[in-house]
Amino acid sequence: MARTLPAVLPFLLALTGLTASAADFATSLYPALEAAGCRGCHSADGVASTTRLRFPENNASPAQLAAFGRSLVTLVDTKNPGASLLFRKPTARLPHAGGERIHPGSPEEAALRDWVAELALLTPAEAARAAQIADTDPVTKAPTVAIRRLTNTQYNNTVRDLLGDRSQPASLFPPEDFVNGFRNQYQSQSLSPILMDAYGNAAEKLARAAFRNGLPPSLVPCAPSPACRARFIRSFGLNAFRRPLEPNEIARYEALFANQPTFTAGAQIVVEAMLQSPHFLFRLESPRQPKWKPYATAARLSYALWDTMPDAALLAAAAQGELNTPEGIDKSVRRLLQDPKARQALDEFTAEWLRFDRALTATKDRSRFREFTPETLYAMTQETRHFISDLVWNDRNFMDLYTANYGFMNGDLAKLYGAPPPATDYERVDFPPNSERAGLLGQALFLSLTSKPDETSPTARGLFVREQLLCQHVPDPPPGVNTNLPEVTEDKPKTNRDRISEHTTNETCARCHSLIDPIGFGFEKFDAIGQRREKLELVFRTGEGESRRASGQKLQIDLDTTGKVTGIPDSAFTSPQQLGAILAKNEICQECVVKQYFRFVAGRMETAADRPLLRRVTDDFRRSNFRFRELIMSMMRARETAAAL
Amino acid sequence: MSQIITKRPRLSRRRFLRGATVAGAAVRIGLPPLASMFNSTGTAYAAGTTGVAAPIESRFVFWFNGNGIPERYWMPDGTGTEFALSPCLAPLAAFRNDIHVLTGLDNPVATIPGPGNGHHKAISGIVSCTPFTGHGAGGPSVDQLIASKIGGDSRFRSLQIGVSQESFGESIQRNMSWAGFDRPLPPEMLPNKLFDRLFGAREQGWIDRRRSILDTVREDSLALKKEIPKDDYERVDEELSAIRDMERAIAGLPPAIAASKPPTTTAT
Repeated sequence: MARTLPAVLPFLLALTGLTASAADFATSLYPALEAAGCRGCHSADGVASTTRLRFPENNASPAQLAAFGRSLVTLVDTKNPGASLLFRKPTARLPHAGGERIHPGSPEEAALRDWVAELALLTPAEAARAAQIADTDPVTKAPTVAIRRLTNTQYNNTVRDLLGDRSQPASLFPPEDFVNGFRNQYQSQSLSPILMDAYGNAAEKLARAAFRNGLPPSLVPCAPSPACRARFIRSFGLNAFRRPLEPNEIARYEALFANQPTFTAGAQIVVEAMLQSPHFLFRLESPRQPKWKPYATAARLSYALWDTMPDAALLAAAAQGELNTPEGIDKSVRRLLQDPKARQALDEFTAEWLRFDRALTATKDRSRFREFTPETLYAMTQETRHFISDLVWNDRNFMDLYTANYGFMNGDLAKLYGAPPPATDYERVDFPPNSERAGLLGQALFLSLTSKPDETSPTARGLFVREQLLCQHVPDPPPGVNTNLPEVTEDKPKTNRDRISEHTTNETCARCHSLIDPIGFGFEKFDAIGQRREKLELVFRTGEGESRRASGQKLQIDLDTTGKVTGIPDSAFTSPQQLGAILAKNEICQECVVKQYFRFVAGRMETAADRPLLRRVTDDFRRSNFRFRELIMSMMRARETAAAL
Repeated sequence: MSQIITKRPRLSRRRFLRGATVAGAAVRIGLPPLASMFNSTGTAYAAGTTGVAAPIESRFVFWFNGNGIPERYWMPDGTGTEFALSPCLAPLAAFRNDIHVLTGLDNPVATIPGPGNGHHKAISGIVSCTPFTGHGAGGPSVDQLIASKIGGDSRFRSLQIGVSQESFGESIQRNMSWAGFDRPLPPEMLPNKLFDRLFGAREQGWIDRRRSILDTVREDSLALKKEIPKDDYERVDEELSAIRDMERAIAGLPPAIAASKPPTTTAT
């Protein structure tokens, strides 16, 4: 069947009168569209996701390319091709947020004009057929994540619960990289020799510590004997591998044990080996053996909700078949959420999503911010952690994330905000009236982690809102552009808005920066550590390096804080408070909370195939008036239903 | 060939081992070659005075220095074989005729449209000549290709060492060495850990014990393969290859050193 296809295909294309042009599209216009970067914004997670274009995958066949070319007919005005969006938007003849991507008078424009003219010739029936592929997602299966490695945090938590060891050995493992905004992504979980070496050393130390004072009853609940040996291997193996051991595994570990001179040495070497086994370091998300599936479910739930191994009750639920029904899963999820370990796991999600690491490693200009210390940065992360924890576990509307008129302050933060000092650290305190602060966007954490050491960065602030809070990917700057902003001198004092406007007067830069910078401009009344300022104060210094001194020359300039979020209608704002109100009501922003949690729990980026799941969870979240606990319940339910298919 | 190196005090390997003894510690080490242990032809001095020089292994070093360099201190004046060493290259004067300095290189792979900013694309390009994948390098880095040719007999096929690994937590900016597509080989950042890895005490009992553990773990890995789709074999194979590397590292102590008695504190 497949073999006859190539002979048939040209005939079909000939019928539509597109044989020659279809080839033209693939060789002339298609490369131009790729070079223009349309795909960067008009994608499912792009800034222009509402006008998404279904670009084919990288390895698309000529037939798929041709089909994509024809699908663009939905952007063509058949009566008046010259007025088509497909023609007028990329050439910026109509206002286009992405700016002029195809230059008028260029060969690319000619190719575009020709292709628009071709498409305008399609009969209504042909156009309807061509348009269909634009509206249907390619039928894809959600990628299966077969095995996931324990993250460093999970490793620490797991050995704590398995051995009672709180030494946190994984804190010295090679640091994990952020991929898709999180440190636990499947794609980044390779196993390098240096990591294996670290696992080996950690296992040796952990096993030695566990048996330092002989046989601990928690691990070996019987007097040394061959029967006790088997019992120990089964019980420790069940916890370490998070499922019952197979007979050949028991035999393998018995042999290892038996080779040792004493019972204690035998038990110790078993622990050391199991801690290096792939069955401990990895967890199977979708095992082939049916008998292991309930245990995979148990581990999936416990690592998602607790960031650690299942406890005895959860393993028992797996053994008794309780995790094979949606009701049973709901029951376990409810129980897990009541445990303090659930808070710890959520804290990990918060810290990665909102990039606490960037705040904790930030440096600030001490000559400008004299009272600022690394402890202040830590306090900022604590405030946000308390804030989100309060929203989640007290069942508040999670979208208050953007509108809350209060923070959780210690003395330093209260001073920074100009609020009365709290009686105890990280108590809920209202922001001062007229501070224009609200929620996360008014908190010092967001304002400082998106700033440079001495000044704010409207670009970084805008990018954070786009990527972290709206889940929209902004294309990277093209290679070779100079990203330095003009220097501010005494002769030419400039606000950040003025300096950055360089981005928007330069056509290449403007394409993307017009989507980012105007968001950041609305925060300009908050400096690089999140203090309120009414004017921008410029201090000029003389000399170089260590001998730089303030010349005493200070200038105060007025600030214009009008901003907007291109793509969101009626989104003009002048303060974090106003932007917060816009975001809290925005559906893209609401769905982004779900997407971020999905990425954290699933260990991967969402795909087109996950859209029904995300939609269902978002609906549940919305129906519950944005209770995060309901989001978690719904996500677990949906994921387990999908896993059972 | 140079004057400087022949003027060095001659130090045999055994003498160095004695000198390196730390009070009370049993040291059995595989030492990296030091300049003073070579003669002027680059072969190593054999222990004692037998005078038979053994050829040394080829090494490849790939060093990346972030944030740029002040060019005037580094770039030599002149081209071809006629160039004057710059201040920072002056210490290498002894090897003047064995040095190639290449400047002004470019790699067009970094400008191919695709994911990533200039940093991402340039690093993927410079280490692997492949475009940035969106997460990491698109293929093995040059050091790994060379290691696969010359590293076969070494105790460590390759070593990754770093002093700073910041840059917004992104893999491509933290790792210079890549085993393959999106497969970083992170550097050892802690000097004491590196020292232990290279020179840590290895008693025979410890080696036997570790080997029996690795045998057990290898059996587990092979069994795990039966449970996962073929696409994911790579992950388990990585563990298997890491196990092989560990076995070689613990077992491959240079025979001369493995056979020598641990130095004592009195021998100086």
